[in-house]
Amino acid sequence: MTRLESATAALAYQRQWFAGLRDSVAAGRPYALVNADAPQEILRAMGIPYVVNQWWASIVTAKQVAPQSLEVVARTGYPDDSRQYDVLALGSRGLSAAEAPWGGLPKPDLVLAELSGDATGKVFEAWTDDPSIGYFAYERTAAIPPAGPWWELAPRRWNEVFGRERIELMADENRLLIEFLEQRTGRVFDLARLEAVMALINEQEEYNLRTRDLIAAARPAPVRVSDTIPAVMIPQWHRGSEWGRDAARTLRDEVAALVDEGAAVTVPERTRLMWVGRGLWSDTSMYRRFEDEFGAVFVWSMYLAIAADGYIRYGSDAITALAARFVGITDLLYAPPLAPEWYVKEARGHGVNGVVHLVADDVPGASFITLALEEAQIPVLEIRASNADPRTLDLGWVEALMTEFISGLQR
Amino acid sequence: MTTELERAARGARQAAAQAAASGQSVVGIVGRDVPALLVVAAGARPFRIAPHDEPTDEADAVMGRAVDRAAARVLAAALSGSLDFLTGIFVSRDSEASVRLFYTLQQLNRRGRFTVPVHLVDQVHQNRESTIRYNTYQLAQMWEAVERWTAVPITARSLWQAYVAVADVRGQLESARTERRANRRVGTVSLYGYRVACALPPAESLPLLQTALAEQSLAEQTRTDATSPFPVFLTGSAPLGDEVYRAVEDAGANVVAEDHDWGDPILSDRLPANIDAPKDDLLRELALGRLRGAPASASSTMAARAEATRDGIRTSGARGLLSVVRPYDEAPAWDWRRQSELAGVPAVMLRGDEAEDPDRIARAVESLRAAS
Ligand code: SF4
Ligand code: SF4
Repeated sequence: MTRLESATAALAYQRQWFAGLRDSVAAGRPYALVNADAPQEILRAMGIPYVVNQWWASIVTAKQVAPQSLEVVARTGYPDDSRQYDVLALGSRGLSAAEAPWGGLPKPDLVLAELSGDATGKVFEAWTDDPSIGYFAYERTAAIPPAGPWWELAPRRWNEVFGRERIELMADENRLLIEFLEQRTGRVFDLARLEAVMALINEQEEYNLRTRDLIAAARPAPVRVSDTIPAVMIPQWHRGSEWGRDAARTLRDEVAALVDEGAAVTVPERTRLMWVGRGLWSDTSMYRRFEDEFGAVFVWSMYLAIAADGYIRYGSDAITALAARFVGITDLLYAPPLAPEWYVKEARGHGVNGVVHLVADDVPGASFITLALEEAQIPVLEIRASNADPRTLDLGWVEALMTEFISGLQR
Repeated sequence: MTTELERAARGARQAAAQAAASGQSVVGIVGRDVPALLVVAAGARPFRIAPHDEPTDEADAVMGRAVDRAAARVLAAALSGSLDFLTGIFVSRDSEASVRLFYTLQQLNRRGRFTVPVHLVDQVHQNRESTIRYNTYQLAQMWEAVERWTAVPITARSLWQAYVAVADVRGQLESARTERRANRRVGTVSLYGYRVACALPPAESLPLLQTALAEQSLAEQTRTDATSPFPVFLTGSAPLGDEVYRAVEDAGANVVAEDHDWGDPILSDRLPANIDAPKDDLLRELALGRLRGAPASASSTMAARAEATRDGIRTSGARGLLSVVRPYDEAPAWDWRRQSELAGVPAVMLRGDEAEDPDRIARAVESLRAAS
């Protein structure tokens, strides 16, 4: 099967968008660098363009200039063995014009992060070594046990999932961010714009929810995870824009058509797999080999699933609804008991035969995800690695582990 | 020479377990951000858990290996059953490792592998009104939890009594700190002092601290300036035991001040000025006390840390800055660039698996002395 048109279109749009961003910055307009776990909607509503730190890190990694970027970080006097992925954007600013991907990341006017882990705040504070760059940080609070299945409660009854006080704290911080942005950029925040952004995002994620459900129910799997990832992720970076919403609708339509046609990634489909943890999707040839040799296909990744279950928030108070979206977004993916329960539900919903769980260094509670899946009678292959640092991951080793695991499932 | 203070520090867990066996409620504390005041006011014996135990395979498997050893050691203690005597455990949100430890203990609770109730005091750290409100709420939750655990209500009277007792201990620690800043008290003794103050109830720690202070002044009269050890400010990871301090002393130097959470920063967290204030105001003051205390590496900006280190070096008269950073303790290595720039004295950082090796520490002290 050929590549999804939605994926091709998203990748093309992203290039064009980034070129436009560079032009706009060259013309003197501000832009922000934002960590993926911090709210971006206020920037969208205020018309301040932003680059998501993790997206840029993926570009740096894909262009194989991550080691050089980390060298820049080390030369500056900061550690190059901590938060390697988060710090790639900072390091990439020191790459030569020849090395820098996509013409290079322009200097941001402000950086925005949530204080996750012990060092994320410091990674972003390091940008302020250039005193013309502003920095705003959200607190990171801890997950509480939810009152029920979070994916059912979160869209409207978010207090029961995340706790009212945590959400209030983040809503207050949203207001502080607005003040900070108004002061720095001279722009004026308009609540009606934020409400429109929030409505567009709910629409976008409703399409993602339908796409996820289509893929979960289809036998055989109609699309590759490596294809849905760009078709979901890139529109996610543009959440709250009409393009983002429309891209999600196009993906839904395309997947629905493939299901109707009976399209298959691999025939016969012998093993359905789920990938938990950060992806290693850049090496597509590895996944092709599993499809060709074993009829094994990855039907699930967190990117589409979290877009489907994690983002929708219906509420009339946009500032609070936004807080309710972001206050626990990483908890949903990593913290017990929220994350383990969700992975089990998704594994069952997609009828997977096994799960490959990539456990990164900085992820809390990983063992409880594995445990919950195993208790639900779903075999798990745990790969313990720091996929953040390109210098420490041995793909050959990963492939060997996975080959053994899949053979075992088919025995 | 093993002093009474050192013996008490080493024997604190056993003493706590004995108190529990005789029917007293003992409440475990992880980290600096849990106010022992509320525990004492609820009639319980506060016991801050030191990272004594060697991590076990089970601890590593459950929590993952890529976590600071201090947390892995506390988890190993919990898994070994040696903390089963506790009525409950409060965990600070002072680092990622502590949060991970909390999630892990909570899950072990759910699975019945560990039965002591665990509560996270989720105080965050930016100096903002929204943060202060959230932290005040967190302390109110802690208040409820400790009353539930001990079945003893916190009253105005019990608060006042707890306040007086805790303030007395702090007074002793402050005097000891003054002696130490004059390089008249060694770092190890100071470390034992803080450990005793955190791991024993005020009634037991106070006389120990008083005696130690008196003995120290006596020993002092016999020392001359020529034998004064080289004064060092210690930053980086909070030490697991006293090994780093001993290594510094064996190298002819003295840790005269530090910025980790088993040392001087304990005194920087002020008690509320008005203990009779209404509950909400009191808790707000308590939250502010920590927020205005010395910045800890894992929860503050590099800028705040660098300034605090510079000030700490000035007030303590340190002539060298030593940073010892364990693997998986990410924050201190980020602080280092600005800390060393602002220190105003020679500075050396040791990182990695061997950071706490006594020979490396001796060499680092030697190079600091040579450069100063
Ligand atoms: S869409 Fe693909 S390239 Fe872009 S961030 Fe996601 S995984 Fe990386
Ligand atoms: S200093 Fe070390 S040996 Fe002494 S009480 Fe503390 S952890 Fe135990």
